[in-house]
Amino acid sequence: MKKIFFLAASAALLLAATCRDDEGSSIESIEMNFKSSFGNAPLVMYESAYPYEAGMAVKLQLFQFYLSNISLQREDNSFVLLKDVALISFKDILTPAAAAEGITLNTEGLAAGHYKGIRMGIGVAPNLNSTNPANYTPPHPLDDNYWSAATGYVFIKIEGNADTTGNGQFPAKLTFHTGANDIYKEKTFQKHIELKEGEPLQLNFSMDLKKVLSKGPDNFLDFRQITQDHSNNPAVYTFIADNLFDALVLE
Amino acid sequence: MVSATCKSDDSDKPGGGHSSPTPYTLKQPAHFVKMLLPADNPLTEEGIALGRQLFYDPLLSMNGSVSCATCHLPQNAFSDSLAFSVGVNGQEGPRSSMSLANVGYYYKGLFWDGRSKSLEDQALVPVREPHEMNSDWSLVELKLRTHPKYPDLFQKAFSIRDHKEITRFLVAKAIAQFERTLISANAKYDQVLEGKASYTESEERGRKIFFDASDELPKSECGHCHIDPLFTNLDFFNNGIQQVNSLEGFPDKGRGKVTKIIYDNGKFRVPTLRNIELTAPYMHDGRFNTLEEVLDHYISGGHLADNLNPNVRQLNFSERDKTDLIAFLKTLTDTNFVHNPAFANPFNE
Repeated sequence: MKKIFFLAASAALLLAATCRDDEGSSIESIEMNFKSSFGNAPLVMYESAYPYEAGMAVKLQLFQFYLSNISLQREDNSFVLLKDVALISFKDILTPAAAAEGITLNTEGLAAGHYKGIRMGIGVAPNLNSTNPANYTPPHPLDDNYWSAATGYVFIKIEGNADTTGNGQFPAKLTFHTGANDIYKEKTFQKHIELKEGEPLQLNFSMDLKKVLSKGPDNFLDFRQITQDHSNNPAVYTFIADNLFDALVLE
Repeated sequence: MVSATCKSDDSDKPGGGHSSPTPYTLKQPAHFVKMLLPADNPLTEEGIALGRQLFYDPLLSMNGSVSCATCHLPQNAFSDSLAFSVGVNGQEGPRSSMSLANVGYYYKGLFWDGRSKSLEDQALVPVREPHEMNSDWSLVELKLRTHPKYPDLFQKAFSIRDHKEITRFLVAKAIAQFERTLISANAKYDQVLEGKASYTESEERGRKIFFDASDELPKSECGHCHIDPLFTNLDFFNNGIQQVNSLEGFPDKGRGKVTKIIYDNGKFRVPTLRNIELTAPYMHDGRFNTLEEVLDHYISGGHLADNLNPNVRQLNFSERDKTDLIAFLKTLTDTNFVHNPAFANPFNE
C-alpha cells in the first residue's frame, strides 16, 4: 500500500511539474474585434447616409475584406500563426448596436507569453489565392468570393449607393471589387501583448471606410465619374487597397 | 459464462439480424465546392432508393394526386414549367418551384426565402402545406407503416426493427439522400472546362459578357451573384423586379418574412442558372417567360429600392450581346442530368 501511494504521489508530482505555469506551456485564446465607421459615425448598412466629398453622400450595403496570415510576433521577431485566412464582413451590421459590437474573430491554441506585435495580410495571400472554392468544404472563408475570370478571390468588396447631386436621392450604384496578388500587403502592428494563462485577450481594430474611399477633398473616388471597378483599373483598385491598408488600425 | 451471455440473439439486434445498409460514395465534381454531408444521415444505396421512390410517390399527399415530382420534374431540371406551382385539388401556390439540380450544395437555406436550413428540414414542409400535398404527417406515417412494401424498404434503408419506427423524419432523411445525388455537372460549360468541348464564337462571346471578362465587351454583372460552378452564390438579393414605394410594399416579402429584417424584404435566393433553358418561367413568381425577358429586365437596371442590389444596374447591350449571352446560358444545359435513369420515376420501370 505504501509503495502504491509513493508511486501515485510521484506521478502526481510529475504531472504537476509538467503542467506548471512555465512560459509557453498553456493554451490560450485571443479575440480580435473589428469595428467600422464612416468618418465619425459607426458604419451601419442600408439605413445611414454618410456625408462624402464634394457634397455627395453614400449609403452602404456591403463592406468586407479578407485578412491572411494573421500571426503574433514573438520577442525574437519570429511569428506564430493564429489564422491563415478570415473574412471580415460588415454586411449584417444593420443597427448602431450591432456596429458597437463589431465583428469578432476568435483564435485559440496559443501559448501564453509575451509578444511584441501582430501581423496580418490585407487580402488573400498568394498561396491561398491560387486555390479556389473547390478546395474547401463550406462554411469556409474561401468557399465564396471567387472570380473565375480573374482566377482569384475578390479581396475587398464595397457596395452601396451614392447621392452625387446632393438632392437626397441615391441612384448611383457603387460596386468596387478589388483583388489581385500585386495588391496583397502585410502589416505589422507593434504592440506589447501579454497572453496570460486563463485570461483570454481582446485586441480591438478599427476601420474608417471613408478613409478607404478618400484621402481628402483633393484625392478621393469621385462617384460622379466612377461608380464601379472590378480590378480592371489599377489606379482605382490600388487606391482602395492602399487606403484600406492604412485605414486598418489596432487600438 | 461470458460466451453464453454474449450469445447472438437476432431479435435484439437492430434490424432483427438483417445486414446494414450499403454505404454510398457520392461522386462529386472536382470543380465543385465540397458538399456538406450530415453525419446523422449518411448516404446509402438503400436510403437513396427509398428516397427516390418516396420522391415520386403521390401517397404522401392527401388524395394521392401529388408527389414531390409533380412540381420537380426531371425534364425541367426538377422544377416545373409554371409561374405558381399547383398542388392538391389544383390549388395554386405562392411561388414557382425551384430546380433541385445540385440542391445538395445549398447550405445557406432552402426555398426562395431560405426558411429551411437543410434538405431534411425542407422535406417535411410540402406534406403539410395546403397548397402542396395538403396532408398530415400522422396520416402519411400510418399509410407508410401499413403499406405492403414500405416497411421492408425502410428496414433496409434504416435498419428499423418495427414498422412503427417509420416516422416523418426517416421519410425526410430518405428523400434528402436521393436529392443529394441530383448533381448536374456535365453541361457543355463543364465539358469545355475539362477540355472535351469548345464554345462556338457566339457562346464564347457570351461567356465573356457573362463573366465581365473582356474590356472590349459590355459587362453583364451576372457573375457577381451567379457564381460558377454552381451559378449561384446561394445568397438572397433584391434584383429589382418589383416596383415598390417602400420596403414595406413588397407583395411577397421573401427573405424578409423569415428574418423579420426590413432590409431583407423583397430579397429572394439567387437561383442556379444551370439548366436555365429548361426552367422557365423565371423569378420567384414566374413573371418572365423567356430568357430574353429576363435580360431586358436586367438591361433596364431594375426598379430602385433601398435594398436593390447595386450590381443590378443599367446595361448597354446590343441585340448581338443579348443573343450571345443567351447562347452561353444554353451551354449550362446538362441533358445527361435530365435524362439520367438513376433520377427517373421508379414506378415507370
